[in-house]
Amino acid sequence: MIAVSELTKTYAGASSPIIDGLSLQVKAGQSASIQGASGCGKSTLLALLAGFEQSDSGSINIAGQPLQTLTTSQADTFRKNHLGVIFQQFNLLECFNVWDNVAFTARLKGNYDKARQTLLLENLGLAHHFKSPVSRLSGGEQQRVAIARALNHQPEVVLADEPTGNLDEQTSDSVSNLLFAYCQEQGASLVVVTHSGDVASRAQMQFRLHLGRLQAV
Amino acid sequence: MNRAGVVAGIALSQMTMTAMSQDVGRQSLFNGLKADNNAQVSVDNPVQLPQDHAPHGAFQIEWWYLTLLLENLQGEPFNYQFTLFKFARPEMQSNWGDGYVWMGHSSLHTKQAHYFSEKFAQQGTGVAGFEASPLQFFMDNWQWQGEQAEQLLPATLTSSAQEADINLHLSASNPYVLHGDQGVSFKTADGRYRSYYYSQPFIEASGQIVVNGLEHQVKGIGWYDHEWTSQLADEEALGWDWFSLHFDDGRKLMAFTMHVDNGDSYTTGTLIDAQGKTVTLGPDELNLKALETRQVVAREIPVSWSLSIPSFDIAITTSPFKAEQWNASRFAYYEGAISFTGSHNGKGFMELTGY
Amino acid sequence: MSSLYLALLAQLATYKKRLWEPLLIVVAIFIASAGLTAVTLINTGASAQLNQLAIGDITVSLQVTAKSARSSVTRADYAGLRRQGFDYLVAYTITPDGGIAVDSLALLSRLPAAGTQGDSGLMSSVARQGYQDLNQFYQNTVTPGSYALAGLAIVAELSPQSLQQLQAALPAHLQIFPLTIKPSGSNLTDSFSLNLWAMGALMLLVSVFIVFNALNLLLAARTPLLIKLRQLGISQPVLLQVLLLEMWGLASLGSCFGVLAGAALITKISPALSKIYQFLLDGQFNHGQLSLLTLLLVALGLSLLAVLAMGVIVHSRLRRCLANRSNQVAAFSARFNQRYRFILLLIIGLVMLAAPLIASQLQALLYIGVVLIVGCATVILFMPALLRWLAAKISAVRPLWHWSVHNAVALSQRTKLAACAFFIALTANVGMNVMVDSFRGATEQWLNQRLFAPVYVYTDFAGDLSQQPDVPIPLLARYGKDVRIAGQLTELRSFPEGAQFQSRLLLDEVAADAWSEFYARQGVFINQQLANRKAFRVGDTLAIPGETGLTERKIIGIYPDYGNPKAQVLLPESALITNHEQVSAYAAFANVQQKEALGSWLSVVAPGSRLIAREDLIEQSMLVFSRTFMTTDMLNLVTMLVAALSFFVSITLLVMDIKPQLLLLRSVGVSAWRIKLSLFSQYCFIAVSCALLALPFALLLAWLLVNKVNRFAFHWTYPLMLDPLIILQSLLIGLGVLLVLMALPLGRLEARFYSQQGAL
Repeated sequence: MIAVSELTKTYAGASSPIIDGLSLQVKAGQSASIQGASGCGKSTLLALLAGFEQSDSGSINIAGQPLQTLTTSQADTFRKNHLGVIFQQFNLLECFNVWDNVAFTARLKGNYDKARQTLLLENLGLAHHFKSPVSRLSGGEQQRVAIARALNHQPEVVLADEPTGNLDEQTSDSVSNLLFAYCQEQGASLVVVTHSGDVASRAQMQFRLHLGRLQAV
Repeated sequence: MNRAGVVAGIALSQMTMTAMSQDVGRQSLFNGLKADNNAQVSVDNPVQLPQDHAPHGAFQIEWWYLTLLLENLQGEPFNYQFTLFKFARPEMQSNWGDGYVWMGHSSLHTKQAHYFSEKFAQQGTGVAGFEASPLQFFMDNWQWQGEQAEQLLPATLTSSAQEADINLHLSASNPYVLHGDQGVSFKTADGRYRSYYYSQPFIEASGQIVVNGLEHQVKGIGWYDHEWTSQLADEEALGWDWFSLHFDDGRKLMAFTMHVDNGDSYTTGTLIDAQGKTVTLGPDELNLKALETRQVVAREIPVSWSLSIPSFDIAITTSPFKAEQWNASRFAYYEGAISFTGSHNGKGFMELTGY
Repeated sequence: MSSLYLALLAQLATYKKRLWEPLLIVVAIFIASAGLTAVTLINTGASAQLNQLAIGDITVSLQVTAKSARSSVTRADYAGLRRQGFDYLVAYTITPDGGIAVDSLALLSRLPAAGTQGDSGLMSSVARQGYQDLNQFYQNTVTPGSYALAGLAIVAELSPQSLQQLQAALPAHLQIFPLTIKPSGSNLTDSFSLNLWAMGALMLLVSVFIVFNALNLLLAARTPLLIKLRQLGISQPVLLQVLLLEMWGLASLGSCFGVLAGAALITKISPALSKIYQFLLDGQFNHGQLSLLTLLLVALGLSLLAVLAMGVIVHSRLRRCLANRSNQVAAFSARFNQRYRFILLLIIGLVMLAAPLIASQLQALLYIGVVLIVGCATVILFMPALLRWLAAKISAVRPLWHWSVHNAVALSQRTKLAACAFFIALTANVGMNVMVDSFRGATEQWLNQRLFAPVYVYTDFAGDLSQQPDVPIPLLARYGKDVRIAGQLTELRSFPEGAQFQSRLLLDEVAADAWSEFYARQGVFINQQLANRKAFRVGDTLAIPGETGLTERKIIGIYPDYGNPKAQVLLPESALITNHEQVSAYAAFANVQQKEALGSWLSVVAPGSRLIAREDLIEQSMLVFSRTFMTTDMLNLVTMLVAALSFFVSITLLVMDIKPQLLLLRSVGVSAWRIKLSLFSQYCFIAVSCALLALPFALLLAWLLVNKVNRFAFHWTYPLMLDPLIILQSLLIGLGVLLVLMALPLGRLEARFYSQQGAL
């Protein structure tokens, strides 16, 4: 679960904070979507939630862990065990095939389960691609692999940055459905940053980020 | 007589260092060499001029030797020695050269400096040799150019010594002088060592010497020697002390002492009057004695001598133009101008080998 | 605006965000160019020195020679010029066996006299350098008319005015020209010369690979942009032009700066090199006389050639990839058929079989080239496959390790050319180190065996010191004489008689009862150099010229004679004692007091003689040996460094390419230092694989250098010694150079979400 309180972040040289006293609560199994204009701070918020960056003030609690008190090493461990991240650019490991890409996070965490992974991949429509090199997949297939990788190790929190940004409408639909359903099923808190109104509307809580704060939609 | 030529010839043949001889203080110059005796110096075949000015191929060694006592217009001395040597080297005969090696020495002394050059060349290559008509000796661009066929003099001498360029006109008014018996000069009492030897001691020279870009008009007197033999270049011959003197009264004197291994030194000479008439002097008549030695290039060189010919009331003492008159050639020897005083005065040249 | 111009602008626009890409390409080419320039300048400087005639203090670098093959320098020309006062001209010719015959008398004139009576310094140095006299050469039917002079060496340091004077005096058919005469004196200088040539060729090969690798990387980096431009309607030929223009621009920049840097480096280290050459070659090191302008023009030209070659190679591939909008384009396929591998294995087999058939120096050197190229083909075809096979064995239980190995495989597939350059440098480095070590070991062993006395005397004394009546201790003379045997200039040398000396002569082959035949003057020992030159074997008969004509002797043994360029025959002492031309050295069994007495005696009898203890002699010889190979060691290291730097640049570029993946790893909780450690282990993996592949080729190279190149170049061989420590040391140094570079920080690895991840 995610609990953010009065989060503030200002970049060096900026005249005003990009995140300005933001608060957010996402319970286990809940999903939240965040929309907003380009450059409004959506990716910054995700980075703060993932512990990639430190806020200037405020608190972030992810799965009961106060992020601002973690050292770098603790943050790494935290991400490994509790967080699943989906990037807009997929960021797949090109030297691995589909199976090994998806298995990577679970193996890192130590909860790799072949049967579970097989089911996950089948559910994501990748049943015939276990051994395929990821470079040979289409954009949609690659994004599904990225999603599978983010979910395979059963994280408590899933952060998705434009998960359907590079997909066509049909694929976007199916990927979104899978993502939201899976998180709900696993009891993971899902935060999705998206431009797509369609994707955003699937979330239980919908927000717009404006002037550094979240406004419910 | 120039013994240096013998030294050089032997060294060329052997390409070896000299070895210590039994004679303390003297070095044998002919290590391992023997006089080849291919041709004989013999009174039966006396010197004939002008034809004997030319090279004699049959003989083992030969040299043409000129010493000049010159002064420029300011009276500064320029003492010059020019020598061409020829050595019979039949083993070198080939399609490249004739089997005769020429060596040239050109040595100029001023009070302050010494300019010395040494050259080697092989006859038959066109680089060194002799032409009869007009008479010409040449080695590279050194040249003794006679003005008449077969006649040695008058002539123009063109040569160089390091930075010095020499261009002189040579002439002589008196006849040539044959030493010994019709030009057969005996170096030892038993005649084992001998050579054909004649001189022209009445040389008059004038011309230019250019040193370091400065031209000097010079004139003076000179002495010319020509010797050839196959009965001299032997390992037992150790060295020589030789003098050519111009008396102020017009007379000339050639005197030398030859030193041999396992034998007595032998002194002989020729006294020449102002008209060129000669008297041969034997060891009983001529005394040569070293008076003073000096350290020259780490050697003890007798630079001052006393010379006497009692029968002619001649008793003189020589002193060198300067002490350091060493020809640092591949076959080094002492050669330089001297002056003398005593019963008579005058000047000349001295050559000391084997030191 | 033309589409070419627009496409170029688009290309250049990428520099704002991804400047490191073209920069690293330029750096790679810069390194190759600097290395090649440095090696070329060292080579030309050293070779020029080796090839120069040095007479005393005078370095002879010019000559008068005929302008064309239709005319020649005649004896009359020679005399004519000397008669005009150009007495520094010395006639020479090249004899049919490659030796040099000179007018020794003219040379005598050029040296200042040593001031000692009858100095033989020049003649002995002329003889030592292996020169003949023209009188010896022009004999019988050989005349200056039938066998012309090669030229007139200018034995003087002439001012420009003097040169002009000479030029003006030359007859119309003659000219002043550079002189390169190779004195075939010391075997070490011949070895040195060959080493230099080999290093130059090696550096060139490595540089070729580096340049092509750099251009290949640029191609890979540019392909996405080219695809986009194609989609925007710019035609393929224009895109190819754009690509090649950029390549040539970067290549020219890198190569020109490289030339300047290489030249500057050599100028800076010239004083240090001079010291080495002063000792080694008795002369000054002048770094190559090639003008900077020439080098720059050559660099530009070679860049153009490389780019054009690249254009030819990638033309069809690029066209296909642009059509398919595929990002995976490179000059070489990532994977090859099994068929290619099979063909390569066949070729390797054939190459191995061909080795014993090598019959000349040229063949040997060409064969080495073939071996290196086959080695590179092995790297290209086998290394990724081998690594993949290894990777498949690694369990995924440790996921980061699993990823490391698999990523290493991927990296290796994309760095094949750089790996080839590194492979060549490493193979050559290890191979040459093994060769030099074997040479050193053989020489040291041989010296220890052959030098049997505690003290040795070297002297110019004309006679026989051992026969002097007052010699304080017995001296064992080494009598010598030079003759021609079967047309080959051969040294006759004496070997002491006495059973105690027999073990001192190391023999490769020996007949039964050899020593008794030797003492009975029935048989002789010959050195390898004579045996190999004339294909003599034990049992053959040799006709040795003597005073009474030719004498037949049986060859009863062949011995190694390291460091001697000449053919040699050993005769018993008694055969030469009365019949020798020289005594090259004396051995003395002297204790300390006796040595002092001997020294005092020599200072009087033969001043200038050198008295050397055996240990000092060995030490001095080995010192000369080490210094000879110091330059090639240095050149080896330069080549190694260049290849390693290029490998580093390649890998750096590729790692920057996968930075998003590294950021992914950060985002899933892998710490930065573990990622860096993982990357370092990948470099190790690739480098060690390369090294392991290089090892057998290196040993083969060493064998070739010893048994073929040396054999045919210098007519002798020595045993190949495979010292594991030397091999390991060479491998580790090569690897170490690379891995030290690889350990440099890769920059910050921070996870980020930004959508501009492509800009990272």
